[in-house]
Amino acid sequence: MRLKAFWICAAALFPALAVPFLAGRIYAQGAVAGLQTQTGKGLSEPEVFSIPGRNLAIFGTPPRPFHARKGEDLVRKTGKECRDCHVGRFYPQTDFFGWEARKKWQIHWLLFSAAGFVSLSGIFASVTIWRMGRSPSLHHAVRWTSAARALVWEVILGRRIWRQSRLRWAIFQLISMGFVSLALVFAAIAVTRYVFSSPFFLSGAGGILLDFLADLLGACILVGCLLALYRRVRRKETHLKTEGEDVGILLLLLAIVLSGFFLEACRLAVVQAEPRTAASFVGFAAAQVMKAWDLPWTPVRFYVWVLHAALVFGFFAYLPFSKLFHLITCPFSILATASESSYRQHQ
Amino acid sequence: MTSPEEQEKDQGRTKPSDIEERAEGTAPAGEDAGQQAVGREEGRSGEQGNLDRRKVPRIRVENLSPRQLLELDACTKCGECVQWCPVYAQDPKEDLTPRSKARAFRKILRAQDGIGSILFPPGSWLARKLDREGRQQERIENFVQGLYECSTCGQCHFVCPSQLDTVELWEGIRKSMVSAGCGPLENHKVLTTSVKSYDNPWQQPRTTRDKWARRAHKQKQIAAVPKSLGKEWAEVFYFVGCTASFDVNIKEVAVNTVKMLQACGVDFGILGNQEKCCGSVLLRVGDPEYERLARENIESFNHLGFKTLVTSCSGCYKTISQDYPKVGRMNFEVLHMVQFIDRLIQEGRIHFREEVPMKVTYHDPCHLGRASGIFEAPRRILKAIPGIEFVEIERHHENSRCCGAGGGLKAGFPEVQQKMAQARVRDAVATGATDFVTACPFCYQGLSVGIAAEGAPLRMRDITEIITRALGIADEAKEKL
Repeated sequence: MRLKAFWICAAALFPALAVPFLAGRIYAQGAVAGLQTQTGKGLSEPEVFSIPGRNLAIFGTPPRPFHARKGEDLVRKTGKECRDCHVGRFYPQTDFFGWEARKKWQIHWLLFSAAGFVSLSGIFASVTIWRMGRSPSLHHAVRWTSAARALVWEVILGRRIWRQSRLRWAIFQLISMGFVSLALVFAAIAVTRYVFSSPFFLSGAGGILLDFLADLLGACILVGCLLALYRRVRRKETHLKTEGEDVGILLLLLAIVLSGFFLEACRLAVVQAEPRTAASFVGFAAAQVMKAWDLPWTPVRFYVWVLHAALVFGFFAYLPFSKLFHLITCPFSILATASESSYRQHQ
Repeated sequence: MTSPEEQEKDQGRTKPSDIEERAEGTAPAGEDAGQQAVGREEGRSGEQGNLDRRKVPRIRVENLSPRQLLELDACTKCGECVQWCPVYAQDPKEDLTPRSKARAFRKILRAQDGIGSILFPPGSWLARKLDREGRQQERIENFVQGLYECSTCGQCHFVCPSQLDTVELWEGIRKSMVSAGCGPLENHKVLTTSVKSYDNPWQQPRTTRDKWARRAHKQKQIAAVPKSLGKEWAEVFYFVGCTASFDVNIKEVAVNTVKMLQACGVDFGILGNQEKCCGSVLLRVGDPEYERLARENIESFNHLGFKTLVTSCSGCYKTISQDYPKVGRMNFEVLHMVQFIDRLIQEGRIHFREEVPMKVTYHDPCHLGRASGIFEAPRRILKAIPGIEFVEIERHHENSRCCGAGGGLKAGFPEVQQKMAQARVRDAVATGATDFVTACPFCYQGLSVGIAAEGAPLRMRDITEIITRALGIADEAKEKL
């Protein structure tokens, strides 16, 4: 049984690893085509700009791999920065000859695949253990009304936690519901963009809504994490047993949220201010501060993007192995209990 | 009377032993023999290094449900259970907390069947270097202690934000542990052996089970010995239970119940010497023999043809009403005595004539309250009795503080149980009540010990005793107390 599971996982690894390369290539081709449409020029044309070395030579990163030599001459000749010509809505100032788009999405798919593999392995291992149980999970027919009531009152509104502690309830709502809502928002984006090919969330009112919701829910998680840290580290409630995992998870969530805000601030620090940019209220406020420093925010953004993606996918990879798994299992437990105990109450 | 060891030998049963002994190849009993054989088979491949591996028992979880195994992953470690756990309050050890138990068992299963077992197969060089088997052994030993230091009161279920069905989970895991040869504790083995040998945990011969009735009749406490259901038909079957049948201090519960039923003109009978233990003891400590006993009882009860089974023991009530339906279908209704009396009051068939001048507080037995959802019936009865001043105790209804008498805790950890009972008695004393009432012989027994140890100015009462006084049919000598 275990050997079988191992070979299934190993066989799944190869297609999983092939995904980033294929996806990266497909996406990069699209990006290049988009760039050509936008500039009206092919990549092979000599006047296409590259990145000046100093822009990418941050944090001691060698600039060499990130620019095309052929553009440097033009930069020197015209005295312009790349960003002077390459301004985009989603990849402000440039897309680095498609390099940024290509690399970013290659990294994205690589991380996605690796995280997906690890996460699915963890879920697979847990499901394997769950399936070892042979007794019936429910002893009565499901009472849908009780389960629906429990879904609203217990799973979503957290009534039992509310009765126990207002602080814990606030933390639960801010982190769990913030996280779930954020996941739903991104799922909505993915579905509208890739399934219905609709640009609703990328422009117009949908874009403003997305910017606002992403910042609002991110801020909720941030506040929730800070309150949880306060409860664990400062308040030190006697029944709480704080271990490395507990603090580590909170720090990971904090890092995800902060890098997300910083990422947005990097974008807003270089794009022209317009009313809709204020919808990302946290990123916008941070961008106003960041503008005071004359730093190359565009390349910084690239690295922050990679860091943010790594943290997010790291989170998903870690989820089935940590106590965070309760995000998935808890609702099942609550609904099953509600259905079963309703029989006892109606006895 | 033969000793438990001799009885085991005679019956060809395995001597309950520690993990090592079982792993060495002692033949297990019952239907789990096959499972254990498989477990040992997997750990045996003739290699020198595998000798150590054979000591690590394989935990089989077939008796658990996928939902229960999923619940292990649903624990958020919030610690709410720790705050409310009555056992932890008296013995603050992390290993016995529900959050710790859920986590420890998850670790045991993951080490046994998770990714780690694929990456580091048992017996491999890496597994030996990392001492995975040694750590697993240690984990199991610690876990078993914590698992049994629990009264299965269910308080953790009622405060758990994830609403884990903890009682069933612990009982199921105990069964897995017993099947793997890791449980129960030595003290429990006396009880389980007695149930298997004598059909009661009191190590008393079957023939003495109805002695209380004969003696009560002889002493004119009851008008007549109740009908024997095997011989005559009756509408109601009074299931007396082992504690009320055999404990000389508790038999009053049975006597009072019979008096009540006779006074109300209920057509009822008992099984006398044919009655067997409900199997609660076996179920709570995880003995797989429970199912056989339950099945036999269900079959026997179904054949008797009565309409209603009434019991005055909360443990028996919980087992028969909640746990038996998972084993087989029953063709009768199951009621606790308080429900039955409450129904008679509602129907106007019972009137409390006598005044009972007492200030009482009521202890919700875990098996009747949390497990079965019966909170109001005993309160309605007490409030209906003239002269009684009823005061609510701290922690009542779903949050009733367990007295520690159930779940095998009293047998396994008597000193912890006594501390728990004393804590509950202190709650009662704080109400200013003169009498402490409950509806479970086991709680009665446990709390009586607590009152004595605490030297509290309280008198322990079973609710049946107060009802008989209110009906004017109590013993005069008792009434004076």
